[in-house]
Amino acid sequence: MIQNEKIISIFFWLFWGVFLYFVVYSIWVFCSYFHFYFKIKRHQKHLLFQNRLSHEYFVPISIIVATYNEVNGLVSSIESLCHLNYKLYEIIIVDDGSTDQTISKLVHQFHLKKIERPIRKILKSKEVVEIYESSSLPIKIMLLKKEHGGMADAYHAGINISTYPYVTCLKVNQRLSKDSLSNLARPILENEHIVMCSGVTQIGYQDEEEALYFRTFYEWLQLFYYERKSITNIEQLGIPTFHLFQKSLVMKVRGFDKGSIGENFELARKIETYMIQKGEKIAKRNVYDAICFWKVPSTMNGFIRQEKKYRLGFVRCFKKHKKISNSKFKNLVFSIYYYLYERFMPIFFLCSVLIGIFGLIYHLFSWPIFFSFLGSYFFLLAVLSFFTFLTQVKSLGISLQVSTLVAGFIFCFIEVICMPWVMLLRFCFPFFFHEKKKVSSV
Amino acid sequence: MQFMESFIILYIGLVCFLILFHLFAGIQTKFRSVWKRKEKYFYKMIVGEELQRLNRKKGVSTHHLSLLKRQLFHVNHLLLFEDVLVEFQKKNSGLVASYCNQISEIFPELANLYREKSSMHKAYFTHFLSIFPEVMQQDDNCIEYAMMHFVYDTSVYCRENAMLFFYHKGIVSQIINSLKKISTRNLYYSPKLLADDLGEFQGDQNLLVQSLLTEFDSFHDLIQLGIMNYFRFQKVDCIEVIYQKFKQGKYHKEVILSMIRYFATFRYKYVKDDLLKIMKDTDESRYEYRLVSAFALSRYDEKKVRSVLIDSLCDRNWYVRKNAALSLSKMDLTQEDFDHVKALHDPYGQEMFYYMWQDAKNRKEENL
Repeated sequence: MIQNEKIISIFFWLFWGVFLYFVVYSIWVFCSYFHFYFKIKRHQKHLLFQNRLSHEYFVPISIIVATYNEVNGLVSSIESLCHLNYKLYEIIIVDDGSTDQTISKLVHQFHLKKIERPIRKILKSKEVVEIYESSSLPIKIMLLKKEHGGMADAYHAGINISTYPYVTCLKVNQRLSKDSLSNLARPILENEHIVMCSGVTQIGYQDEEEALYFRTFYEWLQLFYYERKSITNIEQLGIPTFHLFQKSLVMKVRGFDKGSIGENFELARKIETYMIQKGEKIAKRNVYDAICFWKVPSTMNGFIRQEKKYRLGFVRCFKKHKKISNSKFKNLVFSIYYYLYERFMPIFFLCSVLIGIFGLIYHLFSWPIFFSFLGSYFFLLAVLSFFTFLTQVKSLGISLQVSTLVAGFIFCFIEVICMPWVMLLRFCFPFFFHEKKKVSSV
Repeated sequence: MQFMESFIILYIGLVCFLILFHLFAGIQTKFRSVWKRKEKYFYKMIVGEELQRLNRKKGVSTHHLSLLKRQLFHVNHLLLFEDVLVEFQKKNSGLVASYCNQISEIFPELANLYREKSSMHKAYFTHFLSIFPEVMQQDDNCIEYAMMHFVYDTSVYCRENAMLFFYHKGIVSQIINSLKKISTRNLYYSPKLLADDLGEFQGDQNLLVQSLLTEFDSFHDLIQLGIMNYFRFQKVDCIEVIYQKFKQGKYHKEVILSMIRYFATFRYKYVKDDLLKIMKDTDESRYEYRLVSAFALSRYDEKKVRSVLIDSLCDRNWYVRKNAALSLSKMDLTQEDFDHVKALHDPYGQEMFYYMWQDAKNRKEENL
């Protein structure tokens, strides 16, 4: 039994601090779930009552796909892009200096011909060595071969050569559903001020229906992203996003930042910052039925490498672009969320673990109540995660089997317990996730 | 610890609340789908009966009309009614059109009732009217009175559907009045939508074009732009009138640029000199006029024009060079023209020209 009153009082101060943190976080997640739920319901009502523009043509779009030594998935990815339900778009593939058979395979597969086309270099990029173009396909495909410079550099080259006023930047492991582009472009005709639209990213598998089944640990992470995104209206943090940008605006902000990892959320944040500085209202729209399927890496090393890249990218992005709106309230909400969860969650979790161990060893509180509290807390979060997933599945009109639902709930429960440990590991082993000065490519 | 106990109870309470909430939502959804199935079947029966009456050359019964008047006020019923009509339309569209004519007397009153509803429901009602414009068969004033409220609504969907109704109905006066009122109230109407929607007009095209030109100045910039794009995409020949307006020079920049693009659609002898004058304007802030004029000059394959375009290959603006090269690639170039290009001191301009010319040549060969 500890005699020192000072230590006990410090302990209880820490205890109540951590307790308060978990209570505030659980309330936050609870509110964000209902915010998300009613948003989805409103969106479904809009669809039911035909509150959307039904139009054959929206705006012409350039899809830019950057690749680096990813020939295996590239051809199928481009083929899937050729069959979208959209009338006016072009596909620009930028080979960032691949050393494999990317060029020859694409040229052969899509009957591309080499051309000598002048490019207007507004955004800085490495030298474009060769340009190929299709002449026989219904959708125009262009292939650029350039010197190696990173993903952002590759996107710049693609944007420089693009013909159309709107651009979207994708990776090889991203696939769009057939209506993604039309759903994503629709808001632009509804409101003259909208300059960018963001879609929803989901884990992709063989087909779209399979994507919504729980299969991997990584799938659950998305549930938290939906919750966090819904109340703060911020981007899906740390995972690849899917945006449509107005090209002229991308040119004005000079594209991706030097040293960035070339993610859409970085560019989106940069454009938002630019508009805030100009005193203009940020007009953007989140489109829930514009879906981009994203294949996760199949190996653990690939997964860790990707996760590290996105985490670094997000932290760097936030440091540079702290404001998300002209509204002080929204900026405050975002900052609270960022520090409460993204930055200091591991510290609070570590404190809670230590406090729990300390308190139990020295009998400072009743362990049944302590564990009951933890159990009920995690159970609530798991239920919220599960219902978030269920709401999203229902909104897409997909029904799941009972066994999948049960498995899903079990995974949710495991996720809420394991996720803090993952974040704690990230926090405790900074050498594993330290910032590198040189940006890696794809 | 009591505090923790109360939070345990709170969390368990929240979990129970969530589960009950979703259970309730699920049961409600189930009931709704059962109700929808039943009601849809009911509408299929009654509409089917009336269609059979129409087949036997009898009119729609008054009982049916009063039933529809009562039921269609509720938007969920209107949804089901539309589904049923669409199904019957696939089998016999003429019969459904005549049925719509017969039930038209209830719709002005329904329009009045829907005016008081939310934007979402109003947008749906106008969507229904745009698909079945035959349900509004009254005189123009009556329709205008019924529909204008929907045109002014803040919901862009409501406005778009109301305008589509007018285009499908083919009432020129209503279209012009609506566009005027949209302009006066400064409501947003995307030029792209307007241009495409005007292409869906079902009535007298000549009357529409004449009316649009007569009232052109009373519309705001975006609508003028949409109208110009409509003329361009649908290849409406009114170049003399457009040229007169262009000469006035009092319109918004985008409208004037659209007029210049229009000049690429039809050849008109007086346009050429104006375009050449624009090409010689060295004011950097007006580069957009030069680049669009370079595009439009492709219609005028003459020595003087080719010479100006070749000189424009040295323009400071990349897009002006590109459009000049593009226009030259569509013309029959002489050896003199090629010599002129070779004599240019701008390698970028020459590169652009040769790329466009070669590309045009390749396309021609592929077509052959």
